[in-house]
Amino acid sequence: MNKLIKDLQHRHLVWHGAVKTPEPELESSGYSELDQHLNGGLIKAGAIEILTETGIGELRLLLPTLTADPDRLLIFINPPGHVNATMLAAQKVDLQHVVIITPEQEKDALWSTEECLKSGACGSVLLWLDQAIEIHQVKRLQLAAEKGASRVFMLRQKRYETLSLPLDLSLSLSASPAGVDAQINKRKRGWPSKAFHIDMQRHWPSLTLGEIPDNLIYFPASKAG
Amino acid sequence: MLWLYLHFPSLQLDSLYQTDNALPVAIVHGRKSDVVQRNENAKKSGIKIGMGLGSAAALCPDLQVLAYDEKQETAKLTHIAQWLYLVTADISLYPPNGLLLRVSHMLSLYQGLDNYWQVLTKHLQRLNLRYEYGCGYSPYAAKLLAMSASNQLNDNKQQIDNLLGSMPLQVTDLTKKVVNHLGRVGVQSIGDLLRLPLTDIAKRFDIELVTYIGRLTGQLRHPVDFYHPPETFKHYLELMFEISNLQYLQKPLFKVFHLLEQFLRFRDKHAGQLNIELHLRDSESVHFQVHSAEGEYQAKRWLNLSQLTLESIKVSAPVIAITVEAMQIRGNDFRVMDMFSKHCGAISANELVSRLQAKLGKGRVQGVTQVDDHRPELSTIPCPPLQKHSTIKPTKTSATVLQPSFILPQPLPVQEKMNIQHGPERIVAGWWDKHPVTRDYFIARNSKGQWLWIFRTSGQSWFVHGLFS
Repeated sequence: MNKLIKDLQHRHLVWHGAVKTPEPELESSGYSELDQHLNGGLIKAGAIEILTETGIGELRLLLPTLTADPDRLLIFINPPGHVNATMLAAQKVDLQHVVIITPEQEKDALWSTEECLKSGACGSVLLWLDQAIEIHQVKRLQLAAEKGASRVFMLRQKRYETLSLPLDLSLSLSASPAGVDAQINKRKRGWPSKAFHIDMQRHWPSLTLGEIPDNLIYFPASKAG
Repeated sequence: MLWLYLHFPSLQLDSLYQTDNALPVAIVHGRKSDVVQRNENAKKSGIKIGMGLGSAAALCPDLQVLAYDEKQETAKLTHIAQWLYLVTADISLYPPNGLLLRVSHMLSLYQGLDNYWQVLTKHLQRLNLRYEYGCGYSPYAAKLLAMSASNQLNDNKQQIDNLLGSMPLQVTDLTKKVVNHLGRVGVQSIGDLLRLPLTDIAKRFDIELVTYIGRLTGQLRHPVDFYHPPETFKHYLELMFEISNLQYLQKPLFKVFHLLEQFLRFRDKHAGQLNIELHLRDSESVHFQVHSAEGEYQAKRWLNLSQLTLESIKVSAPVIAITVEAMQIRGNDFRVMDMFSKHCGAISANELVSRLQAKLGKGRVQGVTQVDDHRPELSTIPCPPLQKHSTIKPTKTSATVLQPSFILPQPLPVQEKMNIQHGPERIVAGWWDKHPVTRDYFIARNSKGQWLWIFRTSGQSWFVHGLFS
């Protein structure tokens, strides 16, 4: 074979039609619009970034995925408040398998995420991260996730967005009256998408706004206490 | 009945933790600081047992000197007895450095003295100690032969008697006065003494000598207290050097963990917690615990766990010794692994939790459980992770009423405009435990699209209390 091709091959710059890398296993997210845009669902093992405000429905979007593997642990790292057991129990989450980690330092948060992922004992790890993350850190999490066949959801603010991270999936969410608006920023084996709407009215009728009735008259601001 | 006596002439020296065998070490004792134990290198420099500290130091300037500690030797002796108990049944302690074993009862198990001795020495070899031995048909006879370093093993009564007979009276446990007294009437060795009729001795000497001879020859019964091993593991290890960098503690700790592993493995047990004490020089010792939720026996795993805890420990003075105590020793329960499960995890959930807790602290890794209380801040309480919960029947309200996923640690005053979507839900509780709550809860959505759980107090002030993530 040509030396040049060999050299390129060595650097993974040549694509072989004959070599088929196995498709990663996908799992339905429970929301048809999202599944459609992800060609079937979320990957079963890997690092997923979700850029979102807190409290717009990001956890509700993930809940069907989180409860899909009831035999393994569900880990919350640095959650934005006290996790409410009543809500989890109402969503049929086995509380015995819920572990909440609140490390003192951000560094420890990443360390615990990696330990949890590679242990193989955890189905999903939810990590709220309030800092920039570097390429090598993401890579480590990804390798750990592959080893333990688990996945990590990194929930971060939009201002930390960087395109160069080696994530399996990066998703932006923004609030919308009848659910959330999502946009795929980056995806392995796929292209980024335009913004699309995920409807939550069927899953969460109380936490969505239907059509705003046109007979609604706002109370005059001057008379409000 | 055949007895075997093991004498450990340099027990304290052998149980020292030495990183470097090239240094001459001597252990001194008594008013003149006589050398009582010394290692091979000290011996090469010409240091002899019984030599004063002054002459020893003159012979060898870089001699490491330690004070003799009888307590430490006795503790080590108990440890040896515990170790030997695995191969031989009847052990009696002769502190500070002797062990008496009853051999006769073990012979049918091991089919002969040679086999027994082979097993025993092989077992003893693991401890890496110097010892001298002797055997006889009475405890005193065995002890005498061991103390004089006869190092002979046979069950021929004639040969043992010959050996004993030639021994001078000075080596016996008799008082100096009695030995002098006997010397004046021409009795120099044990052989001379035994040739005299016992009745004649009883006439001229006191009853103590008669008892001694009776016990030596086996004519009188010699009561012996046998050792019973405790089911606990507590080990004290004195370090040869002061260690101020805690990373260097790993090697000596591993040595202790290795002993722990042997202890646990032979009993088929797991330990759930280790209490480790670092003795510091001139300062309060530091205590810390290492946990393993699942229970562990392997030295390697314990080392990994303790390493994580050690990272967060600070000491104010150098460490001079360590004590390791095993707690929560329990039977080995085998883990059932699913052969066909896709994720063959390297470690189990319990192991993961103990690893996380070792590094982050117990309070930072928690589970949650539900309590039957209507106040939201009290209805969820933290609990040790992976605990089986008594399942609370979800009350009708909690199943139907929507609750947020996160409760804020402190309610925050409402500072922005928001639209109330649902509510109110009134919660009045807690008048019985001095934490009364009278609140009307609403679900609201603010201009950013966040779904919040807000409440109004009876004083008409508004607070945000939860997030519907």
